[in-house]
Amino acid sequence: MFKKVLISDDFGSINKGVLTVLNQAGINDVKQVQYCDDAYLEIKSAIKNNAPYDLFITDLNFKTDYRAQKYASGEAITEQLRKEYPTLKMIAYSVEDRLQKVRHLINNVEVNAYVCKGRNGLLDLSKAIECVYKNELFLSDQVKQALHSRNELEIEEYDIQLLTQLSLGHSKETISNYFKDNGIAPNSLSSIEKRQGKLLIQFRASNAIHLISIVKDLGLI
Amino acid sequence: MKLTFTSFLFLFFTYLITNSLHAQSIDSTQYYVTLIKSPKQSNDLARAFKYFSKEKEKSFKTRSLIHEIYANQNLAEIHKKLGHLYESEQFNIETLRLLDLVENRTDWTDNCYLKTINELGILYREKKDYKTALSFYNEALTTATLPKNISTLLNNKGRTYESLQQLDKAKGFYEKAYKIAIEVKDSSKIARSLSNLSYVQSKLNIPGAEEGLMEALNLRLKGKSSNALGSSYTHLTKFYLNKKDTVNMTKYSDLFLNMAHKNGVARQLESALRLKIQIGDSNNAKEYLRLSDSLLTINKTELNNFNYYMYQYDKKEKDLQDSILVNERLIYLLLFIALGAVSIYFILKYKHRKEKFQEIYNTETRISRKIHDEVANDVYHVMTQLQDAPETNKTLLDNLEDIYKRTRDISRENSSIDLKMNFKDLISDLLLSYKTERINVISMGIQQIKWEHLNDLQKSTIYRVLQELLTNTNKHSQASIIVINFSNSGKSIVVNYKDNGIGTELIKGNGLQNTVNRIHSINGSITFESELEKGFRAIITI
Repeated sequence: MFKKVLISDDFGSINKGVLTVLNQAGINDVKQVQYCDDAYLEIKSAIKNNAPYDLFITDLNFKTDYRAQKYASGEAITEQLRKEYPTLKMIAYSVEDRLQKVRHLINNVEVNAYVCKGRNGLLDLSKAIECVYKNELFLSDQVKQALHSRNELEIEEYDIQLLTQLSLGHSKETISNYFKDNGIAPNSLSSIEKRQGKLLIQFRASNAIHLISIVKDLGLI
Repeated sequence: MKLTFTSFLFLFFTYLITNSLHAQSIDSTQYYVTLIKSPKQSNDLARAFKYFSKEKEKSFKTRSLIHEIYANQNLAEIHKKLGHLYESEQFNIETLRLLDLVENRTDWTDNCYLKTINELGILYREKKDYKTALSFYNEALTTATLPKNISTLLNNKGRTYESLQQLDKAKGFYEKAYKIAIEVKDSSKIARSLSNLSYVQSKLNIPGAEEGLMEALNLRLKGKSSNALGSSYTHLTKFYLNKKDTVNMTKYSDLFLNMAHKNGVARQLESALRLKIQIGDSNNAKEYLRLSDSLLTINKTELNNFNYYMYQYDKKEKDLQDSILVNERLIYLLLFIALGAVSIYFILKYKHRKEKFQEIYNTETRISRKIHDEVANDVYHVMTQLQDAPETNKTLLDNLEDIYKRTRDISRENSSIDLKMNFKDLISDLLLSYKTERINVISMGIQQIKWEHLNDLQKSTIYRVLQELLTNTNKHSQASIIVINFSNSGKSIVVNYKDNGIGTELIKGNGLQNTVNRIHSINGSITFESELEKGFRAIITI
């Protein structure tokens, strides 16, 4: 397990909950700083002293006060640290749950985990520490969508036509032939089956009849 | 819009004015023609002249040849009356030129032609240019078809030869004129040609002259023209003068003088008195001189008045033109100022609106950030501390979590939107972020929309409204599916939002008022449909 952890959070005292989580994971060398600039210096000096931090947990948003900061946000500090220390393990820990932010931190900054503060925040944090230790990526449930393709959302005109054909009670074979006759692609039996499966999931339907009743209610067909 | 209205008003008034002017002009023409025939005031001719000058100008502009010719004739007549022979001639010649331009010849144009030629002949006769006068009459005769016109022309030709003392030739034309007049039974023309013929005959010592003169007199006594009658009296008086018949000579000259006295027409009286003197009756010499003097004065005054009036008129016209020019300039200036003011008003209003929205946006995001960074974060810390405490009250924790979530939602609803990012991705992420185990969000057509046509305010408004609708569904509807269909409709973008929730009435009213306000602020529209158990629908058009 990690030995030495640095927390960057502008909350006055070290968070007891977080400390407990760390202690339970067997980490006792925990330090907290309130400014990103301090975090940067701390990490640098620790490396200089041959006692580097194994893990850096940081909030993303910091209150602005009288102290001018070179690194004003968790985003800025993680970006800088990643540039200098590509192997440093970092966990973003924030109330922020906007997907763009999450996506940016995971894909571009390559933080090792993204934990949302929330009811399950502490639980997620302990899971995240374990995953990161095992070189696995961790994301809280709220922001898991960030890694999903945006296309998962979309249905197309093709889907509507498929649903319409299904609602008419046609078998997949009939639909396949109908699509072929009308130049609609893909029209193979397997691709139609695959698409129907996807629609079942998207509309949370348990079977074809259920699916049709849902899309009818939604006025899609 | 305002401009078109103003120009409409302008056109409307112009129309009214020209219309009323037109109605006026027909009445006026009659009035001024009468004025020319018998002027009563010393400036009547000048007024008529002014009127017909305007008419001429107007008809020239509208290319109404007939009206221009008519005006020209009247102008020639006025000059003739004033003794401006040269000017009168000019107008008559112009009339001939205009008549040449008329394409469809009618009886009116033919009459007009003859009348003008005749006028010119008379003018040249008065100028004692008999040769030219005769050439005009000859030309007129080549085109004349109406017998009474031919008769008049022949008669005038006779008068010219008479003036030239070529009595034989004069007799020949009078005879022809007489013959034609008899054929068409025009008594006034019969009388005139007969009287002229008989008088020439008497000079040539041809018998039957006295009978002819008497017959003409009798015809004229039945007629109404005192001028014609005067001509007969003159002929008879001169006839008896030649015969040295003093009794009859006196008789007819007296008849003429009495008639002239009775009629009170100065020029007639002058002729009658002159006749008296010619026959050697000096009793009336004094009266003649006085009258002649006064006639001269009248004529002079008329001329002076005319000239003065015309000068004044020209001056007035010029002043009017000047003031119209000044007015026009003033109007343009005012129009320019008004336009400027209106556009400045709208620019400022637009700017103000934009600034206001920017300010609202800035305030919202600032507060949102504070709530997010400070309140939500702190609430979270309290929560974690409570979780850690051994004797945690679960209800307390739940309540705290609720506060935390609400705080975060408020923050989220007002947080800054990174509009530099691809808007399709921004919207997709927004929808994605509401996708949970419980609710699936499905979109359609998001790629087909031309988002680049929207400005930042419109984009952020759509983002916010969708966010509010999604939050509503998430909180209250118990829906499992949200479908958002984006489509283009003409130049508009239509967003069709639908969930399969319980379609509660709870979300109507205040909850959605904010979305309505937002959409209206960018001149879009939003409608809601919600029935219990049938889900919720919103249709946004921008």
